[in-house]
Amino acid sequence: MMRRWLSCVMSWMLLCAAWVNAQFSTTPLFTVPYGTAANQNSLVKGSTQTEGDFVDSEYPFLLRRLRTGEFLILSKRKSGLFVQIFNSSGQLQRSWECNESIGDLYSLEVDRQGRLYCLRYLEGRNLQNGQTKQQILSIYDNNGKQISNNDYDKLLLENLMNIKFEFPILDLVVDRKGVVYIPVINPSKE
Amino acid sequence: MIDILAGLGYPTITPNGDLGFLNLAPIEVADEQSLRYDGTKVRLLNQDKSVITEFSLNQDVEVRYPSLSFVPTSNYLVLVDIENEEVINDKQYPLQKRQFIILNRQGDRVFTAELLVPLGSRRLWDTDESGNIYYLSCKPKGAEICRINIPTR
Repeated sequence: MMRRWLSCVMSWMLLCAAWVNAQFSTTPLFTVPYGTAANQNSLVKGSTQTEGDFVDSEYPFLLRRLRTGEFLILSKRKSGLFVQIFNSSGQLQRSWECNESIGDLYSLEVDRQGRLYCLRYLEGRNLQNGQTKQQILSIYDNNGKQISNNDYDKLLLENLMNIKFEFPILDLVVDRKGVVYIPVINPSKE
Repeated sequence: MIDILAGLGYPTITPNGDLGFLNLAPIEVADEQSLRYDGTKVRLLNQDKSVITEFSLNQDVEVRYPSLSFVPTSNYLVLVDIENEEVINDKQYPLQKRQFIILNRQGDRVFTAELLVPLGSRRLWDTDESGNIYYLSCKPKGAEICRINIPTR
């Protein structure tokens, strides 16, 4: 009788442990092998060091799970940014290169549709003269084609000047509707 | 159209995909621009200051990098912590250990996961509509994509 009772208790404890473990679990989905091919992930320590950073290094930078269930990996490569989109089994669906230099960018974001948002540093720019030679915010669609946003960029510049903008803080955020939020310090509110 | 919004904390995306703010100080003592942290509560706020969800923090939980923390579902808070400053000098590229500390609303640690990310990388993790967490971790043979299943209850 005692043995049966102990057996029941042990079984119950094992079931409870299995249930608790089933609540949170980590599952490896797929591995992208290292290398420089389009379906590989480059992890290379560069040789040219500037301010503690190897400017010619290559490494994965950002991961985004797209609305389609695919995975987007944004990597830094010597030539610029490299975007890979994998399906849930780890097969490469498409890839594209972007000539943006990560050293020029304050912040980067990718939304759930795979659009890439690049926010450039503004320090040192002549904002009073409305310098717009290079855009503040560049947006690329999920095939790497740059989306024209000249009007928005001009408006953004004007707004930043109006609030006596100093510099951006933190990273930009993009919501599910594609609205872009840029955290900045507003000295008049300090 | 371009609007100027008040900052209520660290901008983040709420579980339903809208803009929210991770506020690390009680609303009553934090001004609109405050990023101060009193160490007892973390709140996820809407743009109108309403509270979406709130988490208690135990004294022993230290949020060293709060801007990296995120809320996958309203029941859980993920603190992204760098275990130590040690850089693992991998033959290919220096890597750094990071830890996901998942807390429930009472502040209990319910799960911990470790990952290795390249030095200089930004955010190699994401969530989906169900709140599951996906992350990239550098393993000897390649970059491994993993999923942490989050209970819906």
